[in-house]
Amino acid sequence: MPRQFGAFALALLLSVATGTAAAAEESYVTDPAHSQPSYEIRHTIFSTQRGDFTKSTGKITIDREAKKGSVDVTIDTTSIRSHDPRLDAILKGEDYFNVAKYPTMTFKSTAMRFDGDRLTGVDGELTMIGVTRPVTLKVTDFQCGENPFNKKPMCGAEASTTIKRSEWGMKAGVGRSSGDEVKITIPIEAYRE
Amino acid sequence: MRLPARPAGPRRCRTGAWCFAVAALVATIGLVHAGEATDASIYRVDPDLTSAQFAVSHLGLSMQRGHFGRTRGTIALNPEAHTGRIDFIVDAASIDTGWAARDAFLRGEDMFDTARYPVVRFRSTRLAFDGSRLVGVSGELTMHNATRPVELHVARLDCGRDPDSGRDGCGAEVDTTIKRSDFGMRYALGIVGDDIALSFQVTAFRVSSDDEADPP
Repeated sequence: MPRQFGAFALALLLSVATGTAAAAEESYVTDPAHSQPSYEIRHTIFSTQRGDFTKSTGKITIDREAKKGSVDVTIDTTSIRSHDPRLDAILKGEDYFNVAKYPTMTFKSTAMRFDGDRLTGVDGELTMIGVTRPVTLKVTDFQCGENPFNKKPMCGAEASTTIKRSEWGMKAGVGRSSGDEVKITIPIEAYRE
Repeated sequence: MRLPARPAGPRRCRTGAWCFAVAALVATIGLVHAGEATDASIYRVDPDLTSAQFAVSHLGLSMQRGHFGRTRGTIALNPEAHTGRIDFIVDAASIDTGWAARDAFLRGEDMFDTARYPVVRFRSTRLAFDGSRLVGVSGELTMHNATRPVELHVARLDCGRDPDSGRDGCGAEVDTTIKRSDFGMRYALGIVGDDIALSFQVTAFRVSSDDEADPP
C-alpha cells in the first residue's frame, strides 16, 4: 500500500512540477469538504476562540497568461461551528451572524494579483450581515496538479486575511469580552471543470 | 520555597544521629524544592475555552485542519523558580474535521485506532523560561502506539483575571510540529502529509490545590 501511495505522490509532484501552461481561461469549482473557512478571534482577556464553516461553495476562473480571473464564494452562515460549542447558538443569533435573516455571506473578486503565473492575492468584496466591504485575500501555496484517485485536474491554495468585524456592523462584545479583529484562513481545493 | 539560612559557626554535624537528621532535612527540602515548587500556581484546563488544532498537507495541494473537541489537563507554574509541569490529555475519538466520513476514517484502525488508543497525552519533563516568561516545554507525547519526546513552543502566555467570571487564569498559544510516522501512523503517507502542525489555544483557570485539578 505505501508503495502505491508513493507512486501516486510522485505522479502528483511531476504534474505539479511540469504544470499546465494555461493557454486560456480555466474554470474550477471548490471541493467543500477540503475548503472549509476557519476563523480565530480573541475572547476574554487571555483566550483565543476558533471555529469554522463546514458548508461553502465556490467558483474560480483563472487565466495565468493574461493574469486575470475571478473568485465567487458563498458561505452558509448556518454551518458555523465554534470549537466552544456553547457559542454556536449565540453566533447564529441576532447579535452576530443573524443567520435567520442572512443565511449566507459572499466574497466576490474585483481583481486578482499575480507574481509571474502564480496567484498571490485576490481583491474583492465581502458581504456579511447585509454589509459589503472591500477585502484583500492573501493567497499562498497556489499550485495545481491532479487528484491521484480520480485523476481530475485540480488546484490548491491557502487564502487568508484579517478583518475588523465592526466594519460590517458586528459589534457585539467588541472592547469588552471579545476582539474586533478576526483572522480568517481558507484552504482551497478546486477541481477543473 | 527558600532554603533555610546556613547555621553560623562551625559545622555541628559530628555524631552519627545528628548527621543523619541534617542529611534527611536537607534531602527533604531538596525533594520538595525540585519535585514541586510549593508556591507554584496550579491551573486546570477549561475544555470549552481550549482548542487543540492540527493541520496537515493533503495531496500536496492544501493544508487541511481539524481539532479535538475534548481536552483536559493540569498546569503548574512557578515563573520565579523557573519550574512547573504540564499534563495535557486529548480524547482521540473527539477528532473533528467538519466531515463525518473523514472523522470516522481518522478514528479507524488505519489512523488513530481510537478503540485501542483512546488517549493522546503530553507530559512535560522540563519547562524553559526567558526571565519569568515561559517560552518552551520539553516533554513526551503519547499518541497511537508510541511515546516520543516533543518540544513545544510557547508563542504567547497571558495571565490575569477574567472580567466575566472573576476567576484568575491564563491563556496560552502553543505550537509544535510532529511526524505522524514517528508514532506509527503511516497510512497514506504521500497523500496525507507526514508533518503534522499542532496549534493549541489553551485557557486554564487557577485552582487552589492539585486536588481540585483534573485527575489524570
